[in-house]
Amino acid sequence: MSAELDMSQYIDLFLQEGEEQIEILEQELLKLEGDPSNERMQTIFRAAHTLKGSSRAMGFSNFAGLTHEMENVLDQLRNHTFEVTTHIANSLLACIDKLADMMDSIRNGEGDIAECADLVSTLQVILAGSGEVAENESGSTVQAVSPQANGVPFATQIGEELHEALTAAKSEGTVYHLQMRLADDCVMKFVRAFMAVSIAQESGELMACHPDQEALEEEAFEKDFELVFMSEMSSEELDAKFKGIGEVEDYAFGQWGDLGSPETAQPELKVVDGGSTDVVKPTPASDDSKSSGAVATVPRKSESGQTVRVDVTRLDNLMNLVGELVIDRTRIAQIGAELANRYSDQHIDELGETVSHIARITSDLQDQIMKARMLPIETVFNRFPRVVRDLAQKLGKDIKLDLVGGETELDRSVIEVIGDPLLHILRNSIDHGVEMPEDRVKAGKSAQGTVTVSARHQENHIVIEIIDNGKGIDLDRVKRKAVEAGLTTADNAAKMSDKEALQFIFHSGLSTAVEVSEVSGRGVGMDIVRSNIQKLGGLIDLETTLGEGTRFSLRLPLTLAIIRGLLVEVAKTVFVLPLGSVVETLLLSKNDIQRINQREVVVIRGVTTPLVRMRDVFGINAEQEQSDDFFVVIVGLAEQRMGLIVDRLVGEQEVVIKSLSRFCGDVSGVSGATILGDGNVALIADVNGIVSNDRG
Amino acid sequence: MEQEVFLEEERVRDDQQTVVFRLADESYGIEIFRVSEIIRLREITPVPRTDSHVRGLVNLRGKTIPVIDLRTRFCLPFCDETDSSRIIVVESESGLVGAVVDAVTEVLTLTGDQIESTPALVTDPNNQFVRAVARTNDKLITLLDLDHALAA
Repeated sequence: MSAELDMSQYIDLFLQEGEEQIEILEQELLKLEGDPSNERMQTIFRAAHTLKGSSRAMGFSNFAGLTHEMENVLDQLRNHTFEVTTHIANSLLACIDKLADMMDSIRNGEGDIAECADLVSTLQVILAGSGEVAENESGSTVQAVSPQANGVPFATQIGEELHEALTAAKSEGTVYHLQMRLADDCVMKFVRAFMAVSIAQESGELMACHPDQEALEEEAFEKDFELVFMSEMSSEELDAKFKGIGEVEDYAFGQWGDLGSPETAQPELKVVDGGSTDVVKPTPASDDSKSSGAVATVPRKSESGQTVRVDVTRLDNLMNLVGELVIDRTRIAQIGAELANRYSDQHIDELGETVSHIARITSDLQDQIMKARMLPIETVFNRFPRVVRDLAQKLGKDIKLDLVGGETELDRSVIEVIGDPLLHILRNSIDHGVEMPEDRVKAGKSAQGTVTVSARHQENHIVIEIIDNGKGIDLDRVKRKAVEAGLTTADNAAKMSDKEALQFIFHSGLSTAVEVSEVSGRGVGMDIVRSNIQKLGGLIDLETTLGEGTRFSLRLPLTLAIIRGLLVEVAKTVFVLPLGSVVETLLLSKNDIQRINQREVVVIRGVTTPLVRMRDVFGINAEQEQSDDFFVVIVGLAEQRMGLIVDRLVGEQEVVIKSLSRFCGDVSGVSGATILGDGNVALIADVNGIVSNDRG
Repeated sequence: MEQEVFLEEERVRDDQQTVVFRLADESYGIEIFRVSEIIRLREITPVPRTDSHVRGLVNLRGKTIPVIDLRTRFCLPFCDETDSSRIIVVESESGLVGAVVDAVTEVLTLTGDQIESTPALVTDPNNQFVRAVARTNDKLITLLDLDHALAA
């Protein structure tokens, strides 16, 4: 049906907006427990209300039903009929999770499939407990609570809705009122009504409609319906759009208030009193609320006029284009240099100057676009309070979460992937790090444990730390476990430094938790965390002091799109080594190589460094030139150092990272590809992978 | 809906524009709508530790696309590149992919009655890449099932 096709256009918008509202709901709810201010309550209520409205507009009745029940409970909280308890907060948070699930299924095209009857009944029990039982006769989840049951006069409900509409209208546009009567022989009433609703939603924000959208969808109306919406467009433009709807017998359109109430001005318009809180029925009461609206202006959205919302794919495209520009810049510079070698005249000099100017502009452009793609790490941090709260509750621990440096910005490509690793470390700290309150008191600490998550910029990296003041890691136990798991021998373990022993934490198959819990401790996880961080070109490290706590620190690149690389040649092929992991380059002679345990090593300033031949890493069998001297690139991963033997050093360059085609699959030792100044493709070596493979 | 099915059949039965290329002494064809472009052979950067028929990556106007060697893929003897060697860039399930061929000979319009399904006798392992066989005046053209032929 054409209406369904039309829908799809709005689903993205709905999802985007819905996600924002869900996030607001969650964050504010979490804060509500500590600070139940009226303002906060209003924000929460509004978010739930918006969600209900937009989901209903999209025809997601399950979704709308659940949000409706949430709204009922929130309304009672707002009116202080009862206060926020942990139980209520938990139930509401569970609802939010369900909403997020539904969002996912909607995104996957499955619609709002989810069983939420139990949540709905929980909410209804809460409501019932308030002594203000919602009289949901039919038990339908989308049934509106009748105003009598709420003990609030009907007019006030409308007034409030109108008040919002008018307040919003002041800052964002004008409120319009549309009354439409479809022709007697109209075949698909819903489609026509839906077109009108779409126009209203497209040009602004639909504030109310009557009958409600469900009724419209089910064609449960005679032939009249009306919409109230807000828009920045002129009434002429909108009028023209509404004219385009076919099979309309008559319609009236104008600014809110101009049309008068249907009962008086157009008595033939049948307004079915559904008693729904969604119905904005223009009655004389509207005048009252208009005046009250002018007094108490509550900004609905904090949208500043200085920002523009841009589709992420556009930014990505822009980034790709700049990437190509960077490639071409390098290319032109290279051609220019070759020309300058061959000829010398004035034009060549001018070319050189122009090239360096272009180079400067391109770098600036690149910087600016990188900045445009930056997001504050807050977007990741925002998930944490909830996790900590739930987990602490479940484990019976008392934990305070400190988030520091949430405003630190980094590229969204990094933001997207660090959430899960961070969450895992955080869970780990809560589960294994922080002790039970009574144990803490026994140890002479405060009963409340603290976990701090902080972020800050350091050079061209971002450093994220997760610090707990818990019991720390018992290194002797780690060693014992490692020996038990066969990762090392008892002798080696005894000789091992603390730093080395800690590395076992990142080993698969090792968990030091005495008991395996649901949260963590299955011995998988930290190894995956580490490999994920390394895939990003980042480093992870930890320090611990027994009895005092543990500190995980992550060092991540600000972006995954462009890096500085050292170009090296191996068997006539150029590879790029990320400069971030390069420590130094050396020219060694054959005599410098020594052998330990059948491994080639070299002693640099007293430190024995293992050597690896790049051609072995990549399985290249080509003949190696016989030479007494060879180049070694020393790369570092945390404290680890390793020398990579290459044929030649080519130079240093900024490279744009392109992913390997799925065609090639996962190639060990290669993290991506790039295009060089000469137009050829070069592979980017995965230094972290090479080093850790060698160690493992 | 029904009309769509009808159209689909029409297209199969009716004229098909086919890009014909040569590998060793054999002629092969792929539907023209799958071909994104045909480029001259250029420097291919080998990717270590990949299947032998994956020749490597090339730069296609700022994009890196994988290139496979159809000779190796079809177990034909290796041969050095010539002036007529080309890379046919096609749309595949995993994005753009290039295929190295000996030469691109022509674009033919094949009529429905020229196309026959694969002879049952042809049971060599290459068969899974074959969609149909087309017979022109004196020549047989193997029409490839691209998704199979290019599957990694």
